[in-house]
Amino acid sequence: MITVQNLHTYRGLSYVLQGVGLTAEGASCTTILGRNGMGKTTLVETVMGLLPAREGSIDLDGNELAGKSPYQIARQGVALVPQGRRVFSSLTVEENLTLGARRGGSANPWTLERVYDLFPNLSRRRRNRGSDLSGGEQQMLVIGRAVMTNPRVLVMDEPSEGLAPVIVDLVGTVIDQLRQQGLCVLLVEQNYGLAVDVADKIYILSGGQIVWDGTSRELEQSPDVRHEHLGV
Amino acid sequence: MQLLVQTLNGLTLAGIMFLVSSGFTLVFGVMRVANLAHGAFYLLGGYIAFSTVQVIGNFFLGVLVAAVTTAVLGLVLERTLINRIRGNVMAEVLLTLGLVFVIDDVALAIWGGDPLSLKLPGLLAESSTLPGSHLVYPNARLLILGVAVLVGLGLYYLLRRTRVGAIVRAGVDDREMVGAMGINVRLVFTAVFALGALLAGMGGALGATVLTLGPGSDATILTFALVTVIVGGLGSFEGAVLGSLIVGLLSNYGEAYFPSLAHFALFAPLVVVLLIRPQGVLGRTTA
Repeated sequence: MITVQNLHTYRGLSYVLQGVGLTAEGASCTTILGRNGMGKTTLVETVMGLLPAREGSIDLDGNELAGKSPYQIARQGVALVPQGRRVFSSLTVEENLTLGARRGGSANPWTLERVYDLFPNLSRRRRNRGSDLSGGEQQMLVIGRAVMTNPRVLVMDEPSEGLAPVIVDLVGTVIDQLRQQGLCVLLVEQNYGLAVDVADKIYILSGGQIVWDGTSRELEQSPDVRHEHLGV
Repeated sequence: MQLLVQTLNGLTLAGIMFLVSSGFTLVFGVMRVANLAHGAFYLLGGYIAFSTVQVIGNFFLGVLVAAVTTAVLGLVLERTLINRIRGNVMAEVLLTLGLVFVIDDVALAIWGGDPLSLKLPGLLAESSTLPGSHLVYPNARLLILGVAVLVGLGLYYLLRRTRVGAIVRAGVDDREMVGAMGINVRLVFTAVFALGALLAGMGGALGATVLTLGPGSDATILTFALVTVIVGGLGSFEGAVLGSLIVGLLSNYGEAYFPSLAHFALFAPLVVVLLIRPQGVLGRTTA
């Protein structure tokens, strides 16, 4: 379980996260929705240690993550599927997958075989460079790369961005499978459809603060909330 | 025959360029630090090899001592100084430039201001007849060629076939993501910086056998290295190989056949590359 409390983060001089608090449990998908510029990516980068938290705490199963460097946070069991995918373009598919591979104390760890079973496309292109893949394949690659570290929490920053609808559906299916295998998925999205499909719990981030939380069904039944904070 | 000799001379120069510029390009590619002290490591390596050969009389030991000493120096400087100003480009440039002055002055105090030339002991001072021709060529230059090829193959293996190499290449692509994969990037930086210094020191030790060594040699070699990596593509290992060949050969043909235009021969390809392909022949554009 990951618990974020009273998180404040600056990006340069601008005060972005203004006291964010949320909880994400194992074997579930917690989604953070919000429009552009509301602090979603800043939240992701703060959790991963890529941006320093000015104040507040990020607790993963009793270990404080705030103030640690990204590699320490990753070794504590947080993996990142970053916005814009960021594959290692000069590495082969297989090198991308094995670069950070760790068992991470998992009883049934992710291995190359399991990732290739999940994404047969990657298996066929294992010798190709990251830069040779299509957008959808790159998205699968970075998901595979992240689960190969056998994390407890998988943080995904807009994995649907720039993908064809059929690939977005596949991303949704994969998130569902990961959750069923016990992973805690923290999904940051703008894609409302994907979010309500896969989320067990939804938070809405607006102006650097959590302004609403509830289940997918509750959000579906609150047109005012959707309209005010998401414009849908 | 003359052309063949000049080509071999150019290749020797390319070998030295490769040793120096591969280290420079590795450090720049991974750390985004243009290490202006890279030439000073070269100078120091040359001087240390010179003194070791004088005392012990064994050239190979001289190269080894030079390479190890500069690697340790690089490691210490990275851990104690460069580490502190990571990401601040202006500070990095000024710091490495400051190191140039310090290293140069220390070298001046120890080895004096007269140009030195590393006299090779025994067989290395002689020449061999190349098989299949009547061409006589100095053993020292053949050694430089051999070492450059071996180091090149070694680096290629390290970068392309090992996990460490994969981490280094991934670092060139996106070092922030390497950290997010659970890899201690600071450790990678230190190792790469030490490796870069080692290559510069080794280049100095070998270079001192054919190029004069003295105050200012570091600036000359740094200029060559800069041209090499810009032509080949900053951060690209293959670019360092290609750039070294272009710079080494052109510069040597220039000196041999049209000495008054030697510098033009060196910098003309730089200008052409910058105009046509600013990221270097084998460089990638950073999206």
